[in-house]
Amino acid sequence: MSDARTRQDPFQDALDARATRADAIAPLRERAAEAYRDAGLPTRRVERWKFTDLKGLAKLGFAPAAETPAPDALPETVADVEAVRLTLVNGRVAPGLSDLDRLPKGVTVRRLADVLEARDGSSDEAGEGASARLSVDAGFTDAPMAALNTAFVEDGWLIDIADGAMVDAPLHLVFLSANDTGNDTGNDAGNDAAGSAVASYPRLSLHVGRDAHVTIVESHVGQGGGPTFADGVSEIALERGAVLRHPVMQNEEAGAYHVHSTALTIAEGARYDGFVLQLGAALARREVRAELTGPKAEAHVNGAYLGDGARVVDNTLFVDHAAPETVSRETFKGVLDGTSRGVFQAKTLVRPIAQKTDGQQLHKALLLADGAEVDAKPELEIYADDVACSHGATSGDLDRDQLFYLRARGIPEKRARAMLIEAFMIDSLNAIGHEGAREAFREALAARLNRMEGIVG
Amino acid sequence: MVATTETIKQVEELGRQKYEAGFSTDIEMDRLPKGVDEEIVRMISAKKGEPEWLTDWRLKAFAMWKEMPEPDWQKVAVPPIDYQDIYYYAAPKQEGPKSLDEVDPKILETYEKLGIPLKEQEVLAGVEGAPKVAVDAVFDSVSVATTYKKTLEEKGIVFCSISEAVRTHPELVKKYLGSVVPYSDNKHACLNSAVFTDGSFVYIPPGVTCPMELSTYFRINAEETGQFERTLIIADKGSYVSYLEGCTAPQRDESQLHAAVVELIALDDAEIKYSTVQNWYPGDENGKGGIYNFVTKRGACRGRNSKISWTQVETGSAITWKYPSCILQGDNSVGEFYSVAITNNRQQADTGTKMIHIGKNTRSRIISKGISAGRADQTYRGLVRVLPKAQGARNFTQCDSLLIGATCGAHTVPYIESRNPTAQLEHEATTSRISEDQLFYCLSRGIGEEDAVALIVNGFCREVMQTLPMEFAVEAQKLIGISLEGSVG
Amino acid sequence: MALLEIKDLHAEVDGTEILKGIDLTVNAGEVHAIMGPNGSGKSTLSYTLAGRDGYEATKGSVSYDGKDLLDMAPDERACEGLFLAFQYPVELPGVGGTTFLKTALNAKRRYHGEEELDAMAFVKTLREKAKALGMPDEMLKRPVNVGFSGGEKKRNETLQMAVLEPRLAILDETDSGLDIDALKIVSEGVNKLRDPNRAFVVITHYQRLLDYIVPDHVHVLSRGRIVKSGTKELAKELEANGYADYVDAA
Repeated sequence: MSDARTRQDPFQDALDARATRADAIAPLRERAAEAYRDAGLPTRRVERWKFTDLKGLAKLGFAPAAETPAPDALPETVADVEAVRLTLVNGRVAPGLSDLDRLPKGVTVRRLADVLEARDGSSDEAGEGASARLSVDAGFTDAPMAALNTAFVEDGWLIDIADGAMVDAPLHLVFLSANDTGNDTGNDAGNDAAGSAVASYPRLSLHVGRDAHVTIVESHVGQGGGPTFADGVSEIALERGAVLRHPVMQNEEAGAYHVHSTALTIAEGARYDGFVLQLGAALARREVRAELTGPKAEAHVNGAYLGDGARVVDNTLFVDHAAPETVSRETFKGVLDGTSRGVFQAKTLVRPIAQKTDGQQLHKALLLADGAEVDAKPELEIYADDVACSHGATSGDLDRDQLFYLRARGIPEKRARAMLIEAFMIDSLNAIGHEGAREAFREALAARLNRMEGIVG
Repeated sequence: MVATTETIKQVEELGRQKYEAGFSTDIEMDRLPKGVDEEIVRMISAKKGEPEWLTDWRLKAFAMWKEMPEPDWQKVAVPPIDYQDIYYYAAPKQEGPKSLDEVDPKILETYEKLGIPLKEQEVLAGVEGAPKVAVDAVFDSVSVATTYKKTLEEKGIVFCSISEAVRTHPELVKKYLGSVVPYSDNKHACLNSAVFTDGSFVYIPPGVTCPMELSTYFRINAEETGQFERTLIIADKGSYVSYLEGCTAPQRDESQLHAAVVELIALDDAEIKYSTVQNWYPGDENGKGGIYNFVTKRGACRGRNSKISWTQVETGSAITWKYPSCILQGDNSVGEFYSVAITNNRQQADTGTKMIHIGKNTRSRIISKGISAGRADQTYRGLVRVLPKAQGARNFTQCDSLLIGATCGAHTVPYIESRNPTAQLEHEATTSRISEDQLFYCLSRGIGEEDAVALIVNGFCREVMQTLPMEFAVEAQKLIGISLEGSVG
Repeated sequence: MALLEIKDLHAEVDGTEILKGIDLTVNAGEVHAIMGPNGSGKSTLSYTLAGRDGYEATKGSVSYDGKDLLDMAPDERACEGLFLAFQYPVELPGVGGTTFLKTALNAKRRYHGEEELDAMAFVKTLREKAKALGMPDEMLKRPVNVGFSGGEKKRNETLQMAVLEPRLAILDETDSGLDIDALKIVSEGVNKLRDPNRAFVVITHYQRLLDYIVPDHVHVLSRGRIVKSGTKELAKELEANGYADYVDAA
């Protein structure tokens, strides 16, 4: 407690101040609180946080948890995708913005709050069973942020896809961070008094049954202009032969802090097909941990991100090949303008048993301005000899020949740069397996690029 | 399948092979008591007759070392080191030979056994037209012989032990010592700064191209002795030097510590090529004994258009912790790192480089080839950092790992940090093994399996081996053969 | 007034002077061929006129339609009707051919205060023009020049010229890398665009292209200067005797 306590840490205080909850996961919460207390808010001295500094988060003043009334409508930043929508506002289910009455066949959705309080009519035993799907830190090591979620989580979704279900209609999970207390224009997030920050701890537990196929789109967005902090955790299990397409868009407001930890276990022959598009927030860190537990399991974790202003965008990935003939693919592209910073950390572990592993990482970054920075750490840790693993990383400016070619055709420099940036990014969106989501993400990206200032570096 | 299993067995055999440099030499030694404290540091300095500033510098380093934590970020398991159980000063009793004739014949014999040509006439008696190599030999803690001094002096080149340089060129030593690797850099460099006993010093005057390869051979002979040599090379404006370093140690059950520091300085238009073949005793197949090789090597390209090129072939040591680096300060300066690292049995290596781009249009190139066999663990750890002022900086990195057998590990940990939009950085890495197809292809052409493995491994390392000076290439190739096979030459 | 008037143009690349005093006048409706051996400054001339970074005019003037060409940004020059057909057309991964051309054409229209083209109408014209050059629709959908053969790239350059309707087109070694059939198609495309209001500067190493695009004037460029000017007969003479005389003369 010594070292961690000496730093400014609003969450230590919040843990001290919190009321004890006697719900189904009370012991888990205690362990999580202890785990956070031991580690404290990560600093850059911690290797896994070497490039991303949460100091600004520690300086936010947090309002006591207040029930924010759910808004009538969702902001335009939400992905425009035809889907069955399920919405969390500040980590709590918003029934009015959720299509709970038209869930596709084979899909069971429960509110975490109901399960925790055993309100859904399920017996205690069933309630316990469901809560057993939550863990302290979703299996991440040294993960105080995930533990913090467990200590404070109030609500979220428990979603089950039945064995063999072929779910055509995608589910669309909307995570809204709302805070209208700091809505004075021109007041940056992180500046003291004006508005207290709202913290939320959204949680998802998703279980995709044997040979089931499903698409789950996520939009992480904000509303109200006040500072927010979303500390989310997703625990996802794919059973044998399951296929999950999982395009995730983070498009939070400029004053938002966004930290999300996604833990995946992928069984034999199952395929996770994820994509992370990060467009918003003041600081965003999305961490994905995928464990390939059965032979021929596949994890595709691709993504794209865009930084401008002083934004920090962090993608941290860990793939654990724990069975033979497993496959992982990680391709990320980033564009950084202003004084923004992009972080890409990817570690691929191949255990001795995981012979014939095929693992590839690729990171490409475009730096557009003098103050921008990119930090990449593509790491391989390999203990099996019959593997094909590789990684690549590049960083640079737009290609000058391409730029000249466009201008020689009469396209003004700013437009030409925008076209090349879009081309660089769009290419990566092709990895999204679901067409509707691909189109929606494409539009969101184009809208974001249009708004982006200072593209002419 | 059968073929592969046999290959693995053969590779395993190699660990049981005799370490060819594993003999020890019985000579009279002058030693300071075991352990290190302020008094020992003062005594080392006194034995060398050092000026006060250097004694003070050592003491400051020592004071800091006591407080400094051991580095813990590397991916090697270092057993706790009892720093008080090491001799910090061991020198052959007969001090300061005036010429080779005065060197203890037993030492000369040792170097002969190692195939190192200390006697100039032997080199001359070799193949007609063979390139000359000037050698500085460091035996345990002190330099015992430097050859070809005269030829070099005519060109104004200074090539001597660093103890001698402290006496003869104090202004150069004072100006540059610790200017690239400050004693505060890391725990091992800090200890070295406090207790270093000898090493080589090179100064190439402006516009001079050194007419021969300069070479140092390091030999740890005495038991329970640490070796803490310090090398300082300064290439003045427009000069060129190629420097070779080789290392061996006798086979002993206890692990021995080697914590060296190498500092290179290249001024405007100067070029330094630094090649190492490291063959310290690696310990036996169970990981008993062997050298802990904790080395801080760094070059500063201070001048415009300067160039520093590191080439290393690392086959020895129980634990290697080493990152020869380049600080590219001068505009248009170039840094290169070419590395072959082979780990077998229980060897552990965490090695790589740092390229820090500060000046405009600085370029760096990293080619790393790691081969892991037996139960060894090997990590490439590299940093490429581009600072905001480094307009037009370029880096290309290629690091490839080859695994032989299913019980070893090969890891790649690159850090790539760019803060300049005009910089172009490219990093590629692959991991593979010797494929059955490759092996079968060789076999079907009548090449035996051992030869095939050697052939493939040498092919895998080719890009790096080609950068070695001729004198070293043959030895290095042989070492690769020995480390992996034994019979391949 | 001449469409293009180059006077004593000197230009440097990386601090080395490549053009050492070029004088050239091109009137609307004319086709000028500039021939010369490798390294004579042909590509430097075309890049300097198009305004590429790193090609710096150090002396002299270039007047285009009465305006100072050297004072304009590259895209401004293009909007003013200057077109460079690249010797090595650049690949643009991720940028669709149709989008690219539409953006270029609309940039030009906006520049001239005209309304942007309706997407349907644009695609229709584009298809017609592409068909005339033997380019399948599928090629227009692909990213610009990515995976194109040498001939396809040159055809694509010609298509862009046809769509953008320049007043002065500079063809930089358009014949390089073309087989005879592709050469014919590209030349035909160019000839169709010949017009009393439009001029061409055809830069080439070989006379072959000039059998298909017949020039009004031929100039020999050597070591950064025009050392001889004449009619199309001069090209024939060069074909027969080579550049040796002129290289020595310069």
